[in-house]
Amino acid sequence: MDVSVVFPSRNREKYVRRAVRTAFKARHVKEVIVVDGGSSDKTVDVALKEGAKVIVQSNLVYPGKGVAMRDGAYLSSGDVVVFVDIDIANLTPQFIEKLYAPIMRGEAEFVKGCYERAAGRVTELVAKPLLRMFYPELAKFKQPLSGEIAGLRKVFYQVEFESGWGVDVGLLIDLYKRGVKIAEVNLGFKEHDMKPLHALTDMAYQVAEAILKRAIRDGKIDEVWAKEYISTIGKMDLGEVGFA
Amino acid sequence: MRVVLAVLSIALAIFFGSKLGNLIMRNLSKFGRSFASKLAEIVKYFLIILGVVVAFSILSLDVIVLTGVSIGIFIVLLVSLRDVFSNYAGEIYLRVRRPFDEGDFIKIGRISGRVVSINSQDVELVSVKGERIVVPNQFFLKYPVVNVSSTTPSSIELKVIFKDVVPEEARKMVMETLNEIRPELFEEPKIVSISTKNGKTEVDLSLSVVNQQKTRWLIGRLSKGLYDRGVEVEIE
Amino acid sequence: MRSVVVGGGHLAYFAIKALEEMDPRGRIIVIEFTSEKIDMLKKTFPFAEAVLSSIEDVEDYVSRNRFLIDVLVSATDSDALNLRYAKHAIKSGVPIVIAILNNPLNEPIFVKEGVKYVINPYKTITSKIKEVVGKFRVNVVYEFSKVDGGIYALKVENSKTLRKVKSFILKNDSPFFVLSADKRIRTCSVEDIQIGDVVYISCHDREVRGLLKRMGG
Repeated sequence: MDVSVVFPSRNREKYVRRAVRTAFKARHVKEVIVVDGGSSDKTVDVALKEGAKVIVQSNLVYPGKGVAMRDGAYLSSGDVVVFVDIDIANLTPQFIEKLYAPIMRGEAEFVKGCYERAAGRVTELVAKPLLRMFYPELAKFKQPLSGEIAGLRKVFYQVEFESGWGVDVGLLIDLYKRGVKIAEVNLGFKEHDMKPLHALTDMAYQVAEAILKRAIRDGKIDEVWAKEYISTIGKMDLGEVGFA
Repeated sequence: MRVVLAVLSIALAIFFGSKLGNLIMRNLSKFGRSFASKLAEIVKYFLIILGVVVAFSILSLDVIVLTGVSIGIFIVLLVSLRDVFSNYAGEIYLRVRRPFDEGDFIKIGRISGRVVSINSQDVELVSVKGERIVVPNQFFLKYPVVNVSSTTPSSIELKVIFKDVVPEEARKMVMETLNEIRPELFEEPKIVSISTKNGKTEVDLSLSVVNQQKTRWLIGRLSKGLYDRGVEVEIE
Repeated sequence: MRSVVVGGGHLAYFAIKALEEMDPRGRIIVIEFTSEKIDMLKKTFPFAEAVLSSIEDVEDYVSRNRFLIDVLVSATDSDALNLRYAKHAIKSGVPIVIAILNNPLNEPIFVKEGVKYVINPYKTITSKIKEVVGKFRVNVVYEFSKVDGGIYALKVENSKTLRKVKSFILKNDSPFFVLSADKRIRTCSVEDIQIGDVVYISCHDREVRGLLKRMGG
């Protein structure tokens, strides 16, 4: 089986050369795809020079990496597709190989990567509690929002990709519901820039939205009640906090 | 000192070879990335070999013998691989002059087909009958190639020969059958003429198609359509 | 002619309309991936055959029918998919392969990958705004698809520009017409072009590039 490595990326010219070269060194890798989110720096040029296939994600406005992941899956031709963050400072070929090893051994069809470090704030405060409430079978995953995933290309074609930051947890839930064999592998330590707190609000919202949407779809929340509630919230005048 | 100079000459050759290679890649990539990279490699290694020869001469090694042997090897390669080099030359011609692109329909000699890919040694075509044809690039240096502009429709002239069918009946049956295959044609089909010859009715048709590979299928459908109407025909 | 449109969104909508207008008796096959869109397509385009397919089966379909397909338009909401299908159709020998872009930044990528006919629906935005506001030196009004060239609007603001435009037209023998300041569309001789006119010239790309640079286009 051959492997396509997909890097969703945006304004990452500092990392792209190394990431693409590293990916090509991993075993069975036949192509490296960089899906650009509309970079204003030289990310695309550098990626092309390094021999990566490049496409700019289909949305004109960058909504988060979901569209980029979808486009990467669609453009890939390998039997296995691996998604990796492009700005992992300690990325090695072995790091990438670990991700798809269970698939190569026939033990899984979809793999989530997890790390030694503690899970992020959105994971601990939003994703895990909501998964516990609505999909307790998935609460065991250490890092359900991990962007390092691998899967047989055909499984990615069975599901829809959320357009924003809810894509990772959305894929996890949807593939689980389809009965796909899922595994989690420890990738060791990931050296990666964390987002500042103020940038996490949108991400948290989109993650929550992805989980709740699926909970409604799967009958875990009453749809009629949810629609009415959301409509009521929308009309509420939240007022202002007064000072005593 | 001589050793230092010799090493320096090789190092400079590698440096300039690499720089020139990059320059070639930047400026000739528009003719095709793999083509530009091959040319860059050839230039780079040529400069390196030159650097080695200069190094040898600095070290007062027997350059004459080395040069002689190199020239000899080069001539042997040139003669035994002349077709390979001709094909590369053909690729240069195709990339720079661009007489056709992938997707165009071309005729060269008695061969015709749609260009699927232009490669370093050959051009791959797919014929009207669906056969894959591989034409070595050197042929494009020797023979004229006609680019039958890929996208304009072309006419297929057919003659349908009926035995024991009067012209009016033949016309009616042909029109009915053509009506069934009309969705596959670019324009309304034309009956050019109807005549009788040696007791047979001949109907000349002109069909307009975009995909020339459809010809065989159209002939088959036409035959079947007329057969379903109770006549056996010859189609030329 | 037999046309295949892949996709069922708004890009595909315009493609199907155009194909139907060109050949009302032709055969149009629309391939989509969701049953809701198939139902909508069947209602909107009763003359077309709407086919539900999976993402991978599209390539099989094109390969099996490559001798019969005259035109393939790839118009999904994913440029990655459009590129993939367009390349496959070209390799299979489909004569006319058109890709419609979602993101205009992908245009050079598609061209580099050998897709000859790429439609960038956003291209008209710049030229229309320039035309409406009217403050420009050069405006690329239309680019031909099959020939490297197009129609270019040159605004004659002063005597220097007037000289340049006249000399360009005479040198290249380019056909032109004029939209004068009083909003009349007229054909005239080169000598009759005046300051204040907008001259619409049709020529090859290589002829006009130098002029565009000199005029700040």
